[in-house]
Amino acid sequence: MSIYFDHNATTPMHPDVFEAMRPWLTERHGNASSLHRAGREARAAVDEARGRVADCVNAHPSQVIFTGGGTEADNMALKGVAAMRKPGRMLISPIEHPAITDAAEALERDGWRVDRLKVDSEGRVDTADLERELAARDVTLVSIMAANNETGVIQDMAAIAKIVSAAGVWLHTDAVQAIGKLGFDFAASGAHCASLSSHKIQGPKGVGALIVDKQMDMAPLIHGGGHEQGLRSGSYNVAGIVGFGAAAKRLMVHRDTEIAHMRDLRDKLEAGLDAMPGITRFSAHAERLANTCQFAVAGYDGEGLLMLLDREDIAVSSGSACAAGTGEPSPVLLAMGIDPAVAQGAIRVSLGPQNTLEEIQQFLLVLGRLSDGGGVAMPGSISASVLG
Amino acid sequence: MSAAGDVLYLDHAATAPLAPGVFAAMQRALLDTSANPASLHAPGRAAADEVAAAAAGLAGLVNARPRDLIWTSGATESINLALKGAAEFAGGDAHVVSVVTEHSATLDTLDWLEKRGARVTRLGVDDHGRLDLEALDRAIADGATLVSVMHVNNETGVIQEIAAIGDLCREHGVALHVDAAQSLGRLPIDMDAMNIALLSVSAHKIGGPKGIGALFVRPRTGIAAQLHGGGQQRGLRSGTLATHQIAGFGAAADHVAATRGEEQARLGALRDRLWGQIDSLEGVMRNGAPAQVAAPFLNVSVAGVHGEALLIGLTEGTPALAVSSGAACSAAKGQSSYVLRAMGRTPREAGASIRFSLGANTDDATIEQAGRRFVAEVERLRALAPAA
Repeated sequence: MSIYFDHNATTPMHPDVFEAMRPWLTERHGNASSLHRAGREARAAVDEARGRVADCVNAHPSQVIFTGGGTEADNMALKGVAAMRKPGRMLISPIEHPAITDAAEALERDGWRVDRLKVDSEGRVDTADLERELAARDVTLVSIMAANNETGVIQDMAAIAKIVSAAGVWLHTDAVQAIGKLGFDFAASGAHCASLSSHKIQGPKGVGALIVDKQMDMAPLIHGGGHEQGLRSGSYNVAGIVGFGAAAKRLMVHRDTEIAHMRDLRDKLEAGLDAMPGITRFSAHAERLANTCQFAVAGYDGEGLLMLLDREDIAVSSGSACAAGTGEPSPVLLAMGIDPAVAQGAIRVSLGPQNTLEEIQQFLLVLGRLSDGGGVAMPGSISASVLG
Repeated sequence: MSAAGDVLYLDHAATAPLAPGVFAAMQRALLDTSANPASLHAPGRAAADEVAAAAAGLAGLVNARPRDLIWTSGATESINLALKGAAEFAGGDAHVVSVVTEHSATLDTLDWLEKRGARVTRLGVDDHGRLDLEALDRAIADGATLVSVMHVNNETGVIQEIAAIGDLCREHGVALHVDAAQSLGRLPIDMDAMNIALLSVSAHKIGGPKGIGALFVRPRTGIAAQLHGGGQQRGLRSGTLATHQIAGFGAAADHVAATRGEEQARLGALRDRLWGQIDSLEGVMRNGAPAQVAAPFLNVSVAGVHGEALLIGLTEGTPALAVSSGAACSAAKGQSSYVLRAMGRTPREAGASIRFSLGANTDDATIEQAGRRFVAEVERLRALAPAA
């Protein structure tokens, strides 16, 4: 049986979500902007889903701007704010998802100055550094992810929001990984905008949202037709949005149970890892998402180990799926001060609600066999291809 | 009889029901190949295979190479990427030549570019909605860096002479972007023969899902990315690929590739029958020269009735006629058609206009009933408020 341990990359769709989408893919096919009945039905479905997504993160439905995914939401937060003003300064953490770091680099090419805050060796943002950086009173926006996709490390968003708000600066947070495995309360977070993605919570790919406090003045990223209060144009992906809403609704009911289950499995996994020689776990002493464990096995290249596990029908990741195949060590781990040679060996296990204890045991068994002798003894025929 | 119960659905230019085979392809990708196609493991590679197969099918439909295809969240995003990407690449010299009857995705993006310093020339059209090639020639000679023309107009179905426009662009060495959202699957498109550098397409107009589109970029066409992140799709459009959406688009492309010739002939004949019925009324004018209008479209202006009363009477009466007055996105804003006004119609004529757009589920009975219903409704309204 194949084992899927890559839920931070994407989650399998929940069957209930699929059933919610089904009618909007088959007999009910209207364009949600059309005035006739088929159009109005589609619009009502979009707005019902909007309410569900809003409820799931404690936001007002009018604050939900549907996008084509989390990457677009992240891009929109940074570039949408930037487009309304002359180039100035932004702050981001050095462990953001590439959707933020690459959008920040695009702004730098436009004349913005984007500074990376310090993090400690666990990947937690240094709040004293944040305060220092804000003191110059020239910052427009701070963007810090609520929970990291690779290490799972959770930021102290309450403390961060307090500092940012005291400086009178906008705060964006990428809550893509947080909503399903921690929970995210927009109203309580102190953030002015937050990115969400459907496919990380057992919903469909290709749909996300930017939750936006309307005090923010923001330009759209995609023009044409003026959908979503003018902030995001394009025909509504009705089935995708309905699926996102259904996933958000079921998450509210099942999240606590799912988190408890994943935490239990993850703790057992880590107990097993800690009993093995040559394992380095990352962010091990910080608060982390209940489903995430990132570690390195001495002597192994992360991507090589990933491929060895793949041959055993076990799917893990060596970092973020987006950066897969680059062969570079994770920028997240490097920012935490991890030795590049160690970081090169990182693999990430990210569990989902459907994973079982048997799968954890099987994984530990296979890993133990592969790393037999602390990773020194490698299977001869493939060792060359897997050593970093 | 159309889908959606007692509704006569004649609004396929707004959106179309899924074509045969599309739902099954989406279901397979949603439930079976649900991993992230950027992941390196076996489930990820299976998802990537779905993406590659769909790219091959879609590229074949427009005579492009699969590797020239960039998946987007829809034609609106494709158009934004083409126009903004090309303008950014051209830098301070950017001069985009386009047409006043383009879709709002183009017009709103051009307004945005103009505000940010680009030069934009918007050419008019003749009474039949056609672009004057001599005027285009002069505008291109004035330092154009990009020409952007839609193949088939979304309101009237008027076809622009893309092959001739492509020749003109070749002579001047300027890149041509074509919005083919309404022509894909209806007219032959050959990016190579027509000298199209950038081509925007949408799935949901050809029986694919909403929320997925593509931009084809021919080699040596300079565009800058607009969504930054994980570096998917050669860095030109980041974000997790929505495998099920892409699989659905691929299946729809396969379906139209197999059926296009016969189907368009069938729809053209039905459309002519519909016009035959409507033409029995006094004071009804057909918009666009019949020989220059794509088969599924019939756009008529009606004298002596109030436009909004006509639209509501048709869409709310029994049987309900799902038709539109202009684009779904402008309909939502309650504006009379800028496309028809550009073709010399008075605001009143433009306001009292109805677009019928036929599609796969349109049969003889639909047309028969729709024609009768339309004639009866116009007569009813004229009797209520004679000679308005």
